[in-house]
Amino acid sequence: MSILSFYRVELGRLLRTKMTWLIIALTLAAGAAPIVTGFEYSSSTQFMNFMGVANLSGCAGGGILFVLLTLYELSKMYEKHVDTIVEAVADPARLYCARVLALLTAAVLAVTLTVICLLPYGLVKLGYVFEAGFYFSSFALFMLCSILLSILLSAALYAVTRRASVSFIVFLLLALATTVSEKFSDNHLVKWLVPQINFLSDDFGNSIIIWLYSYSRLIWFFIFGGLFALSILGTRRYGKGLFGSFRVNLKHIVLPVIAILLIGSGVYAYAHQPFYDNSPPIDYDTFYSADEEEPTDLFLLGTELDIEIEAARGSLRGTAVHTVENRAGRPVLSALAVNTGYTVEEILIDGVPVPFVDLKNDTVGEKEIEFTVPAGDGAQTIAITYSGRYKMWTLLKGLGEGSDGISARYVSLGGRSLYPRIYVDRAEDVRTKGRLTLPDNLTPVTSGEINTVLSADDRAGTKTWSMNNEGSSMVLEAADYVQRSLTAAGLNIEFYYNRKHETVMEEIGAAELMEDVINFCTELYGPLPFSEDLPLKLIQSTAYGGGGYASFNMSVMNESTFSPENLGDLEIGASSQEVLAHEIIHQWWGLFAHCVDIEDTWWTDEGVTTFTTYLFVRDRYGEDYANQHYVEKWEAAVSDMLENFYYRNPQYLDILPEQYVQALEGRDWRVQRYDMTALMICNAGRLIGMDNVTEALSELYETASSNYTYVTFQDFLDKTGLDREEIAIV
Amino acid sequence: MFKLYRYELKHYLTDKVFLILAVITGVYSWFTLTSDTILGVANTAPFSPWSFGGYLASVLPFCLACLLALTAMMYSADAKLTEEIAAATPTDGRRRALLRLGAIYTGFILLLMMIVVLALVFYYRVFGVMNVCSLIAPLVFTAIPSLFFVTGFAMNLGRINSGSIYALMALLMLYGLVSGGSALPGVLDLFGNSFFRSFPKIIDGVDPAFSVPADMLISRLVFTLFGLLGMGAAVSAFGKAKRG
Repeated sequence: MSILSFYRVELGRLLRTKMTWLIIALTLAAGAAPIVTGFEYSSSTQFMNFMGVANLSGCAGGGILFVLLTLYELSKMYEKHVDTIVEAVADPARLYCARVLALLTAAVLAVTLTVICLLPYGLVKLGYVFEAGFYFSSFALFMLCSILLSILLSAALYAVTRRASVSFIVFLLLALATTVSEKFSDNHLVKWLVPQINFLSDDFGNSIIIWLYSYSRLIWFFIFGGLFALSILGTRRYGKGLFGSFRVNLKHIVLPVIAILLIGSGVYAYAHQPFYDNSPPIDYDTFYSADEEEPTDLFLLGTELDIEIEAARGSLRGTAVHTVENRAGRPVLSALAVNTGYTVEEILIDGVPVPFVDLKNDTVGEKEIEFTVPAGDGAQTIAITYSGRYKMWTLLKGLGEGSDGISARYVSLGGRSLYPRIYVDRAEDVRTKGRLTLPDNLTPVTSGEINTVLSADDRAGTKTWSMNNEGSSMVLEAADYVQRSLTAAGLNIEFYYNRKHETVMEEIGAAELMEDVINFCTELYGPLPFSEDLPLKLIQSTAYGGGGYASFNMSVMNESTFSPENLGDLEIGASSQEVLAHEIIHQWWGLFAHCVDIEDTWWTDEGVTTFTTYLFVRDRYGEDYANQHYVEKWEAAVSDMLENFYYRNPQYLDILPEQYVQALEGRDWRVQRYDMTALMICNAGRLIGMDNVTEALSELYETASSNYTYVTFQDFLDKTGLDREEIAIV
Repeated sequence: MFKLYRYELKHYLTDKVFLILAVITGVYSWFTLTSDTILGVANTAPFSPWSFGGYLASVLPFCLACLLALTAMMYSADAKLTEEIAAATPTDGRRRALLRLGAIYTGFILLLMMIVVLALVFYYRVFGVMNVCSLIAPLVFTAIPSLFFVTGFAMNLGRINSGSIYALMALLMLYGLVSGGSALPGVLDLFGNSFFRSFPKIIDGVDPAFSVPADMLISRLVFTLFGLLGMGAAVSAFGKAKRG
């Protein structure tokens, strides 16, 4: 009998047993459990609260349940001592393959039933957010693949050990180690049983996380498929043991070849993953301190861009023409920095190709390309043609996937990810402008002036937009945006939010809240110097963004901020409106005035912005509320940092693996820059009165923004008349 | 009787399942020590009683899964066949059950000793610390109630269906996973995982001495009592089986 004939018999038998249907029912229950019990991820999206938790629960529950079924089915014949009779008429290897295929089919059936049963609830619960394509693909990619992988692994383990208990425990070890261990806490690629999904976007698509897990699934199907092929060789023959049977089965030479190829492919795919770069860990002490760049003798006069983004493929292609002046009077060895996933194809200086070297020195998410700018009088144009797929900075592994990059429904590029930036001494009155071609379903928002449509290509389904920004940088956000014009405190505001979110945005009054924040800050610190041509742009971004960011005239806030739950429920606390207010306040602190201190490197814009957010909430909801949701939170975070064993005993950091040192230092830096600084300013308020501190900050802002100077911690102490020891925490 | 005990001991401890599981438990324990315990729990030192308790709470579900694997052997089809022959001999069924239980517990104690020794080696090699006395309280607090409770539960489950012990094994591991995230009320936390990770933070001062609040202590006693009652019921069922 062929495997297919065995498979038909086995599948029929399997589907007639009560145990199979019990496991299928329990798998369905595992997927539905978080929904039935009302379990929700707080401050997240509806996709996460429904499909995310159902998938995570289904992956863990379904995976373990099907492992139990697999071990039960595979061991039954030997437990009941009928193997000698069955194997006299059926080839044990073929029978084994057919059984596993039947179990895989039962898993497909279980997930299909889960998807069908949860569908009506999903349609009602998610309403306008529901997307059939993502609903089905998420269950296929997460829940189904986890169960199929579990079956393959447990079958392979049983075929080798012939012990259900040992196979089960080894399975649990391999599953749990990769799921809960700190060692793999930021590594999506090893999460083969329970994916590490912290966010799912309702509005901006989830392509990047889908690509990441599709790749991860591919790796593990290769590896577990290879192990399964090897385990076929372990099928016992003629009453022999594992090694004896192995020798007999080796006559099917194709099996070990397939196994080695599959395992090798999996290992190769893991080692050469295309998502993250190879940047080394960063040194936090120098990373956030003000670094003085060495003069290059090259002066930038302007940058002209022509970029085409192929969103569905996650790639771009473009030309950046920098106009520079070499004032050294001799050839200058220069470099440009670009995202590590891009390839520079050509560099032309005044139309003449010049040699260049890709240093492949991945650092903080970018790499350098070295070339020489010849001596010359006046302006020279450096035209750089580049293309490629965006790669993520490896430091953001486990945290930032999906927040930056190019995907079919969302594009977020900044720094050296939009175009290669050349190391030059910036000249005054520099502009960065050009053309940007995107699929016509995406509306771009770049720093600077409002983007306008220059041309449309209906056949290609693309539109070309203008970009124009003061300065030498450009940041891009693109999605299916609706643009709404607002006015607050005499300031022109363009509010961009996803078309899918349009109704909700009206209902929750997000625009009114933003106007409140702008009115408050304008009263406190003065108006922002924007105009009709150069408005303040407030932008909704994907939930993967964590919080948000601000750049030039853009303040970007993630979609969770605009959920009805977040903006409608005060009890949610600081997380609800903090992001929204925080990113708008950065327009004052962070973009027009800067807090930098070489001595006290923790003194940055983040602390003052966090404190101003507290002032806004205090003004709007009262002191008790603000203290409970802000000051107590800062105190808890600072206390947690100070009490940590490694903070108290830094000598032990030397024995920690680098990965943990990085995580601890990163956490401490965040606490110091946000919570500790805000708490220190608050302590100052307790000593001299909150109004006096507010006035001091207002004066510091005015001086710094009009004179282009930095505000140091000492400036703050001088202005408030306090001593360092009076408010210092560490 | 001692001869029979030695026989049972040899039967269980030289079984390939036990030996493989012992190796796996050792590997998993070392992995936990070097990847999780090294960070310390609740801001305490990695070698504090709290971190040691956290380590035990992480490894115990695994260790108890090994115990369940041995318990499943006690109720396997082969064991039932052997029991029919043994029942024909002039020995008491309850005594035979107790002997088997004693052998299984010996295996568990050996595993427990192994994970404790691994922790001591880890603390000494990495931190140069060797304070055995401070680790006794969390060891007793964590291991004893869970050992009795799980054995009592498993033996009664095994009487009904030996295969269901494997389902219990899975539940135990999932329970261990959930309890680490502090999702369970402290008194229901069999291994004390959330207790070790949260209680030191509400005690004043850094590196607090090991202490257990009354409600947790009572819940440990209840777990132990339920376990002993369950074991008593299961052992007496062996006697009834013979009389039947």
